[in-house]
Amino acid sequence: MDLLKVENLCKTYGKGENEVKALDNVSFTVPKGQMLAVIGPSGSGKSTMLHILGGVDRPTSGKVFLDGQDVYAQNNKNLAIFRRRQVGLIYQFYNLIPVLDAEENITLPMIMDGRKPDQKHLDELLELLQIKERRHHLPSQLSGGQQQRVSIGRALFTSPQVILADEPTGNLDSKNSAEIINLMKKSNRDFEQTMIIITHDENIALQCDRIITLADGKIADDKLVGIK
Amino acid sequence: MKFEMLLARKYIFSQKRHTLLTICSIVIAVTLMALLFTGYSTLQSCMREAAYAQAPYHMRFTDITAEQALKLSRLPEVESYKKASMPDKTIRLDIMLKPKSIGDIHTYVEDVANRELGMDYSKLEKWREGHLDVNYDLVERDLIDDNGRKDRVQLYCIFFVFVIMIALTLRLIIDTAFEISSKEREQQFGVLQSVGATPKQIVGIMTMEGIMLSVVGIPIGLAVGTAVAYIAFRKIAASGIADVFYFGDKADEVLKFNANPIMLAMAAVVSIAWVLFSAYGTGMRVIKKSPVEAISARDNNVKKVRRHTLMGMIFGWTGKLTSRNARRQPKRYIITILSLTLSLSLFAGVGSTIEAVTNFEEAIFAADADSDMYISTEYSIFDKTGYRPIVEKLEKSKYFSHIYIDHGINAFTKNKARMAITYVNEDSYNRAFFGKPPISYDELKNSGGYILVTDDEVYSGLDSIELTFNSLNMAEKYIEEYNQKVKEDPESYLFDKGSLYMDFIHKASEDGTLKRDASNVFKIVKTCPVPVNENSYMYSDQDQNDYYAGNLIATIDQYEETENTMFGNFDYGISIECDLAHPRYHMPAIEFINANKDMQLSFDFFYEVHNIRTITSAFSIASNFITVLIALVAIVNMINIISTGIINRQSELASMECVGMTKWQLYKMAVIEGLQYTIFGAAGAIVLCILMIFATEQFLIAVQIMTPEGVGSLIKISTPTIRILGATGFTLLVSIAAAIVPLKRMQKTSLIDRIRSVE
Repeated sequence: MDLLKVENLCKTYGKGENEVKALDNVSFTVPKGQMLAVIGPSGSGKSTMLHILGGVDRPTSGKVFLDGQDVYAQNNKNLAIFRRRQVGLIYQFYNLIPVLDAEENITLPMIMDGRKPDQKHLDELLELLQIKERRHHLPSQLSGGQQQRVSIGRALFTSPQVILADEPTGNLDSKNSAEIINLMKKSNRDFEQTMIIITHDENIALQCDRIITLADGKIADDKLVGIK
Repeated sequence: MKFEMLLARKYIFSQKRHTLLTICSIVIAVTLMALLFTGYSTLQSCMREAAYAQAPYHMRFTDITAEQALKLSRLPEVESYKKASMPDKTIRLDIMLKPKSIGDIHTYVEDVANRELGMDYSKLEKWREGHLDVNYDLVERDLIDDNGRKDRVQLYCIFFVFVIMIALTLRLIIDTAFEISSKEREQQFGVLQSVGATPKQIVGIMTMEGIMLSVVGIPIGLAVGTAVAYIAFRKIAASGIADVFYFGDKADEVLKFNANPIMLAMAAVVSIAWVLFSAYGTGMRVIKKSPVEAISARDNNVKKVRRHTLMGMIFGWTGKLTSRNARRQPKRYIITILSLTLSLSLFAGVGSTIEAVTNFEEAIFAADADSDMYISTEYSIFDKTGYRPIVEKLEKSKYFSHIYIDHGINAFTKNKARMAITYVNEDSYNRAFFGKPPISYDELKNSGGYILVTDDEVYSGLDSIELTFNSLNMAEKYIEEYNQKVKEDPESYLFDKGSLYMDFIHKASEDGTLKRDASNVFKIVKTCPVPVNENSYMYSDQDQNDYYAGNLIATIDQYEETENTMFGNFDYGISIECDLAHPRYHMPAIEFINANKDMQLSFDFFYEVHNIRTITSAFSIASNFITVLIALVAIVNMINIISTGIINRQSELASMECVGMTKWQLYKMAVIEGLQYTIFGAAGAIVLCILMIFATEQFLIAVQIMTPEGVGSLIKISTPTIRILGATGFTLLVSIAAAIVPLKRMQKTSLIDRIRSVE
């Protein structure tokens, strides 16, 4: 069953002579629980596509359906709620809130929603992320790897249907990278979450179910990998 | 320096919005500083002019010979002199000295008198009386003697301490402007460093930018500040303050606006110093980040946060975030709160003090002077129609709208309670009942009786009452003595027999010769309660030691029917009170009274009230300017800190939006941020005002101006509190605007662009 459906997605920046097509008529579907890697050279449109899938940036044309719902048919407020409840975003530079500690950063989307975080669920997640001991540390008091775990925790905490990760290991050493990918794989397996990961690392891509290669805003290749 | 200049120029012209903001901030800060310096020099100048106007010389020699005058005028210290020949052929010489120190003026004067006029030191002191007048005030203000110089240095020191205090707060305005501008270029500075610019060069770019912007901002600020000071000066001068403090003929000439170039230059120097410090400081902050950190523009170096905050408890997670954000720049946060506290309490304090002074003044004058003038007359209490020609004259002059006559004596009831008997004319009758008399004046007149005004039920329903008069029949010896005194010095006692009369009453009371035995039965036509008004002069006193049972009121025509025995055997003049028909009749009315020999102005309440109101209004104008000045600093600081905070957190706020924060949640956070400043500022101001009121009351009790029972009567705590809350509302609106405007502008940039500024 397809969870995500992308139809003729186009994104253009600038006008006239300065017009740049970041995405050019991209269409694909992602079934529920699939772990998808998006690769491609710089400027191929990977991050743009991820942002559009996450409800962060509106496409110039085309549609994105998540679980049958037209994402961009919603107003801005509902789009924010969509981001809060249905997607989890992971960035290369973590984008944590410096004044909130690890636990507060993780629970932030739920707090925004006016819901009380489930303490048991939080404890389990902190355990899984191996940052239980550092739950009350501020981002500045955490290592890069720990900050990325917090960022993953924030993406996972509301149990969204899709996790979108933009080079989640791009800023980490190999040991931390491996741990983060294992964590994401475990989450994918245990919670049956759909994951779309942008990466430059071929090893990471090969650990996914499927690899889409983007070039000049178009899908140049789309293949199943099957090694897990 | 070429590189720094080039980059500074490029940034100034490419970042027009920031350039404008920085120039505006410099202009505001310099304007306030110029206002302060010009105000100070104008005050000095006015005081000097007042000293000169009182006596237009440093030294005046009188009763000297032409030869002595010549010697004195040739003294090396003399700058100019005026010589006048007197009718007795002597010379009067006014000398102005050169503006350089002559040491101690007393020693100098003695030396000159000894050397040039041949006066012996031992005889100098006696000789000076009638021969030499030194205008010490002018000598001090023109810095001619050492004491004046010392005093001036002390004054400058006090002024500069004040300037430094204001300057520290004002610098924040410029500081934040530079920071906003530099924050958006942080990545560029990182890039510059990564391609080889040294930290010194980066600091140099910022400093150079400061110098260039100063060239534009400081002259504008000085010009605007001088203009504002001039407007304030004209306003204060127009309030008539000169007439209050200076009693000479040319009061207006004493007030001179003085934009002293040296003071303005000092204001400019202080301003340049701030701009350079701010620019340099911002440069130093920029280079604290490594090029990589600057390029990635990450700002997550928060080391410690407060877990439980008041704002968090009230507003939940948005309040918590707001509170934590404020502590990212604790120094600036505290300074902004403090300047808000100070400006709010100043605003409320000044307003409440003026209100209290006005109330106090009105209470005093309403209780003691419910008319404009007291006129003493010489008509005898035994001459029952003696007042008529005086009243006619006053009425004919057309200067007066109301003329009040109330002539009363004290009497006693059978049970020894006091009762005042007062005979009044129509104006006075209406005034006694605050325009609502129980029966009309004519009805009372026609009845031939009295109105009994009392709150004591014992006297209600009476048709008549028998009273024994306090009629002050004195022994012959005192009357003789009294008459003798008046005869010896008729001029002194012409209109002032009252105090002499009181002296004799005391004497007669002490030796028991004062008789109070006359009595009469008074017909009561109406009984009514004492008018409920705090300014009522009628008695409703329940003091057991001196119990006043009430007041008997009758018309002045009724007084004409009374027996002279009621008033004892002692004659004295009676006062008439008047209200001016129009304030412009004040001077003509005084001239009219002075021109009439049978009356004398004994008290001019109109003048007193006018003076107090003029002082209050001048104080109000001056203090309002200072309040506006400090409020402006506080508000600009608050706007800067809130908007800088939002601009600095651009990427962070975008991150929150990415994980689901709605626009309204974002705005709510911004509103709470503004609320945080205003709540703490207002709370601080209220506490400060309460402390100030408490301290003032304790001081007044200590110096015995106020009794402990009077605590709370000076200024009620609610008065400044209401003002603070009003001002807080305005501040809150400004703070919300300061947060919403950058947020709105930020919303125009896509979330992606804001997020990318992080990546």
